[in-house]
Amino acid sequence: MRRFIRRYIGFTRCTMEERIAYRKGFLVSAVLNMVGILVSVFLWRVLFAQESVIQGYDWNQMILYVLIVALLNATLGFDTERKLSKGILDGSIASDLTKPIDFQSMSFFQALGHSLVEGGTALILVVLLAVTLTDLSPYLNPVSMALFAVSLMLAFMLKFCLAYFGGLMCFFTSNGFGVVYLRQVITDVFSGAMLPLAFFPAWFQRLAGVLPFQASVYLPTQIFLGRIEGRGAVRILALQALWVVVMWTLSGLFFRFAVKKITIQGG
Amino acid sequence: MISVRKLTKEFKIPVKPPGMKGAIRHLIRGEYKVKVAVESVDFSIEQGEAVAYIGPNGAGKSTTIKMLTGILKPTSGEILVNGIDPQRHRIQNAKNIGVVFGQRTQLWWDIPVEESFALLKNIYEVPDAVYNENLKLFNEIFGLSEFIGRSARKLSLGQRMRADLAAALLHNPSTVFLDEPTIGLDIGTKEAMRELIQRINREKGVTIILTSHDLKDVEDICRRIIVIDGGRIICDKEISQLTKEYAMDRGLQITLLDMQKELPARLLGQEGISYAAMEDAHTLEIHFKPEMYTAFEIVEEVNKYARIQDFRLREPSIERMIEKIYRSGEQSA
Repeated sequence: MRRFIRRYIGFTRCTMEERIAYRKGFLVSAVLNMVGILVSVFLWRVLFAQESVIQGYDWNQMILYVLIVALLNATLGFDTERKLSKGILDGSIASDLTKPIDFQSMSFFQALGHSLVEGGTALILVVLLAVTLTDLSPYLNPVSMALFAVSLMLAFMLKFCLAYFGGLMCFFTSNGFGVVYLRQVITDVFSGAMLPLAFFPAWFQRLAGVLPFQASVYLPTQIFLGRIEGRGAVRILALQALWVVVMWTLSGLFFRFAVKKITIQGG
Repeated sequence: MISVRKLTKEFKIPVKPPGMKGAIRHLIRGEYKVKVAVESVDFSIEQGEAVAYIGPNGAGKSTTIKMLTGILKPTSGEILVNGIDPQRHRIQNAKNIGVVFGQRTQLWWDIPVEESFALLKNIYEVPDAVYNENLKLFNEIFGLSEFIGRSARKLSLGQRMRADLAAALLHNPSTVFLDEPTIGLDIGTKEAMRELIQRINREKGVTIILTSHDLKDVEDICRRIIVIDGGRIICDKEISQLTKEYAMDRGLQITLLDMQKELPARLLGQEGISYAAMEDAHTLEIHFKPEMYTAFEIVEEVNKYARIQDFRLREPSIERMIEKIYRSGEQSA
């Protein structure tokens, strides 16, 4: 395992350096994140001016929900699959395939590097906003924080698997943006990133419950907000871990199948 | 050692009729036609050989290289690189090979070259001693230390290609695939690239498979040529043997003042003239056996049928041999 990490950790390091090399892009994305969060906050403020509780969420909980979603989205957003689909479509995946490395693990370690940089800045932003806008005191007990931390890590891995799986679709469609966009919309709706799943009709919630997406966003928020506690929380972690294993395995199989279809143009 | 048997690769290409109507028709019921990029190719290469794999654009060179490196899955046929099927055991095969695609870079664009190298060192688990020794060699021939601290984006094409070749050799691969490694480079950089390739071939016994349109690369580096055209191999010979077969003839290029379509056929009928064809409307290319004619006699002979504006003797060169091979390939196809 140590040997494995030693071989792959360079991808994390290089991605971080690369990300930081673009200082302006880096700043712009931080500002965009901030604006996106503030828009949601203002929207909810209008709605909460009429009522104090909406679908079981009070103002405090709703804003924390928004902030956690923002943190998760910033940590692993578009970039993993954009990079992947670009590599597939312009053929630069060819060099990666001539290396003695597992492509999926390589992509994971790259995504990790990206996430450490993006997630790091988003975390600062989110904590600042949480402190100014909400009352955090009910949520700061060590047990639920620890559970939440584990849940976040699993959510990151699952988000990676979903993005990776989506990116591999480019082997078949030769249209990068469409696939990425479609995957994003499906994920946003079913994961609870757009709205808490409690806002949707019962049949939709049942459907979302059997799909992997909710385990990447919705379930971690429920742990943090203390809406699911104790044994229920542990069950969520187990479910997340299960989805990670399932999606990682499926992605691996899908890659092995897809790579046979590869046609690299030119040269 | 590489062995390739009955290797074939077919691509499905969409057939899109022109215009909006065609585009919609394709969307509803896509039609495809099969293009054979590589057709039943056979060859084998021993460890330590330096082989040029050449052919016109679109002949199937890169497709073959991509199959040999495990990127593309062959439609049919068999490949063994050092006893390994490169597509089925891609990762295992990748440990032993080095690859340069002249049209792409494997360096990270926005971080210093040495960081890319450090990453490769980790991936291949290159021992420090080997890594340092190799860097020393690359420095000696390439002057790598001048630009190793800069990001790939800031390098000139020549520097970038030197860094790319070095990157492909860091882990002492036993087999190296070079797909147009000198494309677009100036003469100085080309020389340096050739020198390094030659040295690892001669001193370390590394197998070299090279594609290039620059036949000087071929001449300097390789001892054997495989020519592919239209997906088929049309020639596979030692360069020394080719020289024997083709270079015994001398060549003349004669510029004529009038059009002479039937002239080549008339000349070809004569003994001792091995080749005669119009290069373009006014240029006649003619090859003859020096023991039977002097160049002057050939000019005199041609002068009987057409007025001559100019003529020059063509040195026997690989370039001319390859030209001839391409042409004979076209004729037989």
